[in-house]
This record gives sequence, C-alpha cells and structure tokens, in this order.
Amino acid sequence: MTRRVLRSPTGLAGAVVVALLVLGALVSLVWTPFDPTLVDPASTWLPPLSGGHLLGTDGSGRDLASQLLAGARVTAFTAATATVVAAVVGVGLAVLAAVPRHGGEVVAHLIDVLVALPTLLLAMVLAAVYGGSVWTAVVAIGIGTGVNVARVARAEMTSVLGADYVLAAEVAGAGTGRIVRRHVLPNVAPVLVVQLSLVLALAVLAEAALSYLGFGTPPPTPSWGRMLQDLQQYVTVHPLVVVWPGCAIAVVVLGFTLLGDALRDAIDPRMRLPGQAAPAVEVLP
Amino acid sequence: MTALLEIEGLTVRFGGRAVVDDVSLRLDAGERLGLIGASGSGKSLTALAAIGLLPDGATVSGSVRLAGSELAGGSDRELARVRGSRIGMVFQEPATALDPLMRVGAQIAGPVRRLTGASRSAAARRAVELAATVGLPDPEVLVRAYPHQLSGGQRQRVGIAIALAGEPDLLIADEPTTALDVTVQAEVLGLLDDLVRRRGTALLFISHDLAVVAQIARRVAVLADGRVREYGPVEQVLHQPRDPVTQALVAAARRTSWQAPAPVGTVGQGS
Amino acid sequence: MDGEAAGSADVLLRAEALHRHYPLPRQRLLHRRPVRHALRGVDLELAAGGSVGIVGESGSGKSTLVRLLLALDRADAGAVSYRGRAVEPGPPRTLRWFRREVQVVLQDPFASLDPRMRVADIVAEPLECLDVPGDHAARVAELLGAVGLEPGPAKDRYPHEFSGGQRQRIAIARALAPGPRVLVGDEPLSALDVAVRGQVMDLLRGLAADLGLALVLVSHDIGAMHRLCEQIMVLHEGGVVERGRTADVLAAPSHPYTRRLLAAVPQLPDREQV
Repeated sequence: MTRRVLRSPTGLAGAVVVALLVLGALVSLVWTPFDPTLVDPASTWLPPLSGGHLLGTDGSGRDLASQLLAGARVTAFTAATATVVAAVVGVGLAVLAAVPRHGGEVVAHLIDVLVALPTLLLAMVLAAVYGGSVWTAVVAIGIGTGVNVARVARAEMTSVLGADYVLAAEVAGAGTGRIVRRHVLPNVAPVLVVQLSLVLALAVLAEAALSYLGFGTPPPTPSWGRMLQDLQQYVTVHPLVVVWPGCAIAVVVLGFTLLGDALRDAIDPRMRLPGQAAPAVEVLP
Repeated sequence: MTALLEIEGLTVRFGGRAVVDDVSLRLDAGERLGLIGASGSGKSLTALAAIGLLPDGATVSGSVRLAGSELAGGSDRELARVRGSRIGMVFQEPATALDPLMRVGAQIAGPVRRLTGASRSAAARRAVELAATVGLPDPEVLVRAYPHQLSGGQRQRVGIAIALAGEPDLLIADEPTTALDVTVQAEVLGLLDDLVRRRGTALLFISHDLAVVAQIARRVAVLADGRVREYGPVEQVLHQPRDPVTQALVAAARRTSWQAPAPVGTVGQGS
Repeated sequence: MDGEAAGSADVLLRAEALHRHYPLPRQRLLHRRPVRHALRGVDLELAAGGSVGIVGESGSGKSTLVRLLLALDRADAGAVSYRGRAVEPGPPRTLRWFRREVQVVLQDPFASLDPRMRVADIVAEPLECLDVPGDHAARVAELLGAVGLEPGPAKDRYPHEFSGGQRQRIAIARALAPGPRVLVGDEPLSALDVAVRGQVMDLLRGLAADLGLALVLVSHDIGAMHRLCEQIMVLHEGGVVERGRTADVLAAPSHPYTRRLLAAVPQLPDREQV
C-alpha cells in the first residue's frame, strides 16, 4: 500500500511534507541551531542569513528557525494524539449509533448535539477549568473533531450494515462483533482515513488557533500558533517574520490533506485495477 | 428506399480495445429489431453509440445514418435534438432513469415543450395524454405524483411516455423489462408492441433474454464480443442457428426457460 | 426422484402458519398506524433431499418468508422448526446448530460478497464462525473446486476480479462450506445472463444430487422452478394461493393468479408454430 501512495504525485507530496514535519520535530529534540528560548537583546530583528540565523530573529533576539523546528514538535504531537482521540471517539460513537440495538437512536442524537458544539469553545472551557496545556488542546480537538467523524462514519456504517454481504455473514454465523470488525470497519476505512486526515489538518489549525488565543501551549514551549501571536503586532514593521510560521502551518495542513486523499485511493481494492478488468480465473468445464 | 437507421462498420474503442467491432445493422421505418447478447457483448454500447451517448474516453468510427443523414461525428447540439425528436430511448432501470424530485407529469412535459415547442399548458395537457397512452391509471391524478409513489411497472410506463414525447420515428429500448416482475413485464411488452404497431414507430429492442426478444422483434442480431455473429428473422435464428455463439445462446434459453404445454396466452394478456 | 418419500418421512425444515406484518408510517395523526400484512398464514414443509420452489412477484411476501426461514426475523404468529427443534432469531451462539444445517445464496452476487475480503476468507467465514472442525484452507480449496473454480488462482483474489456467474459460484461455495443439508436460494439466478444462468442451474442441480441437499428456491423464474423443484407453492399477497407437484401445477394451474403468472412467461416460439 505504501508503494501505491508514493506512486501518486499527491501522495508523494503529502508524504514528503509529513516526513519533513516529523523529521523536524525529531531533530529538534537533540539539536537546534540556537536555543529556541534564548533571549539575546543584542541581536533583535535580524534579517535572514545574518549572524548565523537562517531565518533571522524576533524582537527578543530569539532564533526563528530554531523556534520553528521546536514548534514542529508541538504541532506533530498535538496532531497525532488529537487524531487518535478523534478516531477512538468517532469510531466508538459511530458503532454504538449504527449497530441496531437499544440506545442506538439516543447515541445518534447525542452525536448531532455534540456536532453543534464548537471545538474552540470546548477547548476554551477546558482550558479555563484545567488550565491551558497541550493536553487540554489535544482532548478538546480530539472530541470536537471526533463527533464530526462519528456523524460521517455512522451514515457510512448504516449503509454497509444494510448490504447483502452483511446478511450473508449473519447467515454464516457471524456475531455483531465480527461483523463490525471484519465487514463494517474495512468497508468504512476509506471514509475514515479521509476523515482522519482532515482531522490531522484541522488539529494543526486548531492547535495554532488555540495557542494564538493563549489557550493552548503555554510559554515557554515554542509553538507556531504562539509565534504568530507574538509576531503579528510587528507585521507592518517586519512583514517577513510572520510568513515563516504562517507558511509552516499552511504547508503542513496541505500535506496532511494530500496524503489523506492518496491513502483513500490506495486503500480501496476496487481502485487497484483500471476499470473492470477481464476475469482472470477460468471456469472449469 | 433509404433505411430509417443504417449503421455501417460501427466500431467503439476504449483505450485501444474494441468493445463494438465493425457492427452493421439496418432498420426500416416501422420495423422491429432485437439486439441480443450476454452482458459485455457490446449491445448497449452499440445503441448508445448510435445516438451519440457514449461515455467519455470512447473513440467511435464508422457511420450511423438516420433517414439518410449522418449522425456519427455530429455536434452535441445536433445529436441532442435528434435524440429526442427522431429517437426515443427507454432505459432498464425505471427507478434511476427518473428524477426523484420532480413530478412525473413535469418529466413528461419537459421534453414535449423542448421538442415540439408547445406552450406550458399545452405540454401539460399532452403529458396527461401520453400518460393515458402508456396505460397509466387515472392519468390526470397520476401526473402529479412523484416517482417513488409509483410501482416499478408504472415508472417504466412513465419512461416510455417520456421517450414518446418527441413523436420519435425510432424507439430504442435497452433491457426495458429486466427489472420488472413477470406479469408486469408481459404488460409492458404488450404496451410496447401495441404502441409501435399503432404509431408505426421502429423499435430497436435490446435484451439478453431470447424469449423476451422473440415476443416483440421480427428480426434479431446476435452480438458477442462486440461483433454481430448472426443476423436474421427470429424464427431462423431460433431454429436454425448457424453460429456457435447463437447455438449456445438458443440452447441455454431452451434449457433454462419453461415452455407452456399448450399456448396459454399472448402478449399483453392480464393487463 | 423420491417423490413419495418426501411425504412425512424425514421433514427437515417446517414452517407453520407464519404471519408477519409491518406497521406503516401513520397517515393521519389520530388514526391508527396502517399495517402491511407481508405474510398471512404460510405453511411449508421441506423433506430431506427434497426441493420446494416458492414463486411470487415483488410484494408477495417471499422476501419476508426467506428471512423467517433463516431465523433473521421473528414471526408475529406461527413457528419455524428444523427437525422438530424450534428456530428463533437470537444470539449467533444459540443458532450455530441451525446455521450449520441451513445456508443461503442471495440474488445479487455483486452485493453479497464483501468487496474487501479475499475469496478464501469469504468462503471460510462460515467455517470460522460456526467452529467447523478440520483444515479450513483445504476445505476452501475443495469447495472452490466443487463449484467449478480453480482454487489456486481464485482464492487470493477479490470479488471484483470475477464475472457475475463466477461470483455466484463463490457465494454457493460459501453456503456449502459448513456442509448444510438445506440450501435456501433467494432468486439465485435472476441476476445472471441466460447462458450463465443455465450453468449455475446445472451446478445447483448437480450439487443437490451429489450432496443430497434439500433446496428451497425463491424466485419469479418459472424456468428455474421447472428445472430445480419437485414441489412448488405460489405466493400472492402474503398467502399461498396454490401448491403441489411442480409438474402438475405448471401443467394445470387452478388458481386464477397462477394462470395469469404462467401466461405472462415469455415463450420461445415452437417449431410447429412457425
């Protein structure tokens, strides 16, 4: 499957972006050009490629390239864990709502209610109660996007549960658990993959937004969202500095979206052969 | 006399593979021709190519002449006019061929207005007439219904009414009864038989079912792998099939069908 | 074949006075919900090695009957039993004995096979779910061979790589996997081309004879009934309007609906009529 993803141009582009993000986050654990939190009053607002600063420095003299590298850590971590939370919440709620049994209707309505709750608002409430941290952001983003995943997944699961092959599985003696595991989940997987790749992208955006608003990653941990907030007031004086974190966020969001698209195409066995291939197995006489 | 529809050397290719291969057919005014073949034999594509409705990616060569004028290579606009006014088309699945959100009367009246230039009210009256022509019960009431409120047989009758909207010279029916129950199939076949007889419309009837085609067509063309394997009167093809493909088809039809011990009825009985 | 023995000797599947109705959406607020009677008192008896055809058109209640016979739905009144043991829907564990004995082939082979499973896993599903002992891989190969597919190349492929007739063979292999004594066919031939229909018909006939399978065939295809079923029952609007030996009913239908149905069957012109 990996090979099929990498063979498509969008998949390759997405994979490269995501790989760069992960690589940056990993490298920043052991090495950054400068200490990203080091304040140096002697070298504020340095332009790119001066004094050893690849992208220059901000108003406190901190190295922008180092901050971006270290910020990738928060971004990658939040995106990954929030998506895991969203997957658990989304699939769990969807299964409860879709599988015919008592209470399914209630869960379905609960999903509809939760969908109406804005993710950012949830995060702010959580941050107000438990204090802003990476974890409150992760939980809020995971639940907020997870219910959206659940709504899409439930519709998809309901249609799969109505398929003849589920009926055939029932006659073959399969129980609910097996039907969900062997038939429903694999058949909704393409939709889930696309939804979760959207969640990855949304999580990057939401984390940046929360940090920007001051509800996410607390200082001094570097984060792209907070970089934007710190730098935005100087945008008329030093327009270039805002471009770096802005571009980083945009490119990573695009990368996750492209990768999700390519994954969906690769995961569907019906897409492996162009069109209806001629049957290759002969009937015995 | 020139034929109503004359197909010569029609070839349709998808990515280099010929799915319709050098097909030639001729249909005179008022005549009924059956096009028979298994799925994938190219029978539906032949009909679609004849009216320029092929999916993207197909390359067509050969000639399709309707009453002497060449259709192959015509512009979409020209073909669209010919499709409705000279050729009517009935599809297999009446449930999906109709717009679920539109009253059936409006679906019949639409092509009436477009093809005959009738006023809105005249087209609405004509829609009721057509609904009555195709044997829909209570046509004045029924034209106000939505497709999901009709039975499968009634939906197919609506499909036929739409095909007749432009007073076509040729009706192409692609497996029009395959999705229907046996008794409903007999009714719809009876209706088609009656309509083309009374209006002098030519009929190109496409089916995989030899017994059904034998009910309604006088001549048949047997298609396999995109080629015409046999072409002649129904009786000859049924009783003295020369081509091995036709022989197998006839044998299969005889083996899987049930023959009434004595003639138990004719087409259209029981409607 | 064993026409007389089919009487009372060894009845496998029995249905008695099955009733099933479905409530329809309320038409008016204060009125009762209207009810559709899908089945009104249907009896059925299937002897070991016997074959019963259930003819009916859409709305006749045949789909409901199939669901009841397969313990996928509960009757409002009446009962289904297998060799005297009551059959009721319930947890899969409590139905294992029944699923080993009674299996189904559905109409549309494009819908009845999970597009994401390999053929070997599809055919092995009943073996796993029903705890059938033995070497499953060998059994799958044997089954694929029995339905006329080459097990080697077929088993690792996905359903979309096969034609309609081949898929229906795979569905039959799955149904035969646990070694059932009853095969229920829900329109198993009507989605197939005429030529393929003949082959699958022959396959079913051969398998029924070789394995001593009893058949319940639900269809509107009189040709299939004629070839495959000794007994026939005609279902119309939820009730049995006529039943008997297939040959007798087809030769001399007594109920007006049966006559109408038979008259509607397309006929190949006879030599004499030409």
